[in-house]
Amino acid sequence: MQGLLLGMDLCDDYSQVSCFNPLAMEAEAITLSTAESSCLIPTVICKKKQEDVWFIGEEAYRRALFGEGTMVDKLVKLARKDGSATIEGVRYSAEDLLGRYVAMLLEKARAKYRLEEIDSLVFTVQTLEASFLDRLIRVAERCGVPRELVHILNHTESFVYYVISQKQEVWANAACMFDLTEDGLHYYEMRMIRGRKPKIVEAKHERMEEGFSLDLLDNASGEHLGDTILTACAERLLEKKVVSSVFLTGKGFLSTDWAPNFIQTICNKRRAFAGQHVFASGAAYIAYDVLQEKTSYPFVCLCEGRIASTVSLMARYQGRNEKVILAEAGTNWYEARSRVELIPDGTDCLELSIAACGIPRSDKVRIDLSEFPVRPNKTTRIEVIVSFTSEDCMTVRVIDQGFGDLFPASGRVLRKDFYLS
Amino acid sequence: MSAMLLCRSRKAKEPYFVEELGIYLYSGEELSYYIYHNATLIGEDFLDERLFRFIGQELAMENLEGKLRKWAKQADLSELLLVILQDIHYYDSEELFAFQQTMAAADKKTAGWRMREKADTLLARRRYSSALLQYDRLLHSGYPELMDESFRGRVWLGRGMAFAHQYDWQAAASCLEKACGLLRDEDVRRKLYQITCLAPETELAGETLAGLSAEQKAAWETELEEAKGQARFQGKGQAVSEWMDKDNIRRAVGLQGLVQGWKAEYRRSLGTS
Repeated sequence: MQGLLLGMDLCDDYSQVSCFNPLAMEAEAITLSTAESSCLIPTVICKKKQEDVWFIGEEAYRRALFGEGTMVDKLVKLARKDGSATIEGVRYSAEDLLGRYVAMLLEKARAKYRLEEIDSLVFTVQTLEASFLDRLIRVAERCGVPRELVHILNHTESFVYYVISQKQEVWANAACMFDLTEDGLHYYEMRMIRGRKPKIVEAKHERMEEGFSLDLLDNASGEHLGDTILTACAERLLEKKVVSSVFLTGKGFLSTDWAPNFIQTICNKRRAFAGQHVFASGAAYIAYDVLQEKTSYPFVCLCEGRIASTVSLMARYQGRNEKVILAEAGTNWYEARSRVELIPDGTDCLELSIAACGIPRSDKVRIDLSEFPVRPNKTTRIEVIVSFTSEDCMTVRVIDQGFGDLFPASGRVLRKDFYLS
Repeated sequence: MSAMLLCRSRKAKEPYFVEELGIYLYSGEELSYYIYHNATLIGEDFLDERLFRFIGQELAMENLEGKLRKWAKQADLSELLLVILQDIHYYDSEELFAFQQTMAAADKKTAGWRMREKADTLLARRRYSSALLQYDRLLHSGYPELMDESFRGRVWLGRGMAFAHQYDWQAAASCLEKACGLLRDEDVRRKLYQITCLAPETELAGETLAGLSAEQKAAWETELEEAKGQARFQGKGQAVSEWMDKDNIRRAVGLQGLVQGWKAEYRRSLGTS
């Protein structure tokens, strides 16, 4: 192994780290200490009183319980809202605290594998918001991981990559997953759409209203109620669906003894797996895949956080008409940024095609370039920059570059936002 | 057919300097445009080591560089220019055919005609000093075309216009007087009259403007005033008024940029940059 290939699942209650082992071609969960059998690491940080010493995970809980330090929890939520925490009169930003937490997790991974280098780090979080993603990338940079080595997935994507990395019989028809945490009950479902080129994996995520606090499972009657809720939920969700396997994850499924009826329901003509490292391992698989020349996942993944349409334009290059892809369906919206330079020939309109994945028909959108200075034909070079602010909101910026010293640039910029339905 | 041309070629870090026009070329497309529209300015010395290095290293077109080096001493200039245009793909086949025709026609022209065309092109590109130099060389060359009044008249007209653009009204008027005498063109006469309007102190040697009717003078004066008025809303005037609409900070930066651009243009016109 050259350097570490890490997947890190950051949640409000627990976080997990997985490291991809290229020799075994699988992801291994990392625990904080040998004493801790669970790979679930509480997302909390504690500062020792009067000292610049920090603890994370169960150790942080212990120190805080014994009054040795001040603890801050829900670090992800705090970072999402760009909050802060005051410890011993000093204000720490959420980004700072999360940075310390992530740095200590990375340190554990480095120590376990005795490798300093990190070749690829993939974060996975419940949902992706632009400002939070920027913060996460800054956190990684602060931990010594350059931004080009950092990728971020949402939980749905991690679930898809984890499942697809298993044997084909596991996901031949469809696969689904129940994630029961303190945050609630989340349902994930993925299926491979056959007969399309490229292959399409469609995945969805639903936050279930039936979610309940895990405190409910503290007594027998609560366990029975929880079982009843989940059973009803599973019957409704799996009804009339051909599902090959069902995955269970989250702290609520550390044990499944409390839910016999639910287990019976999901195991009916299906395989069931319970495990705690689905998201982190899915991210670790991607940490390895992004460094390969050819991807092991040659399909378009359509789910939340991914662009559902391909944006392209037709341009002439070396005398031939070419389709120039500006954003490809199935790309993470925050990574789907491209730029291209063009010279309009006999037109003052830029036409983009937007084609929903797998559908041959495309919609056209146009940007009027007549606001740029009038020059002879083919003497205006334009720079077209396409970026996204969410999976369905595309921003196109067109910059007048002029034509060298012959026709100097005006520096004018046209900006247009499009909603991709 | 309308289309978008895809520019995959990189922009040169060290651009190619075109001495005749005092400008830099940064891309293959710009090089193509320069060749296509300024073929009259291009001589055999154009295909030199500097150009080969620019094409090979800056534009990363090693194949084209290799071809040009190989054929530089064998093929005609116009053929090699066509090779450059073909490889850069900025012009389509129809445009290349038109270029070929133009070059073929230019090859048939005499040295005197080619010299006048070069001077006219420099004038059109606002390289007034260089244009004057060419016109002067032509007038002293003794080429047989100068025997033709019309040809000689066009040379004096171009020379006059170059002086006029340099605000040397007296020299411009002298040249236009000679052009008027040779061309007997009312339009040249109008230009001369309007110069006397712009610079009333100008002295004319002959009687070129004698006999102009009062109506004619009034019409040309009105035309000049209208042109002055319109200048505020076109070209440089328009650029100024656009910046005047911006806020204080942008306006100051924009106007400074404009003035710098004009200074550079003026220096180029004098051939000092």
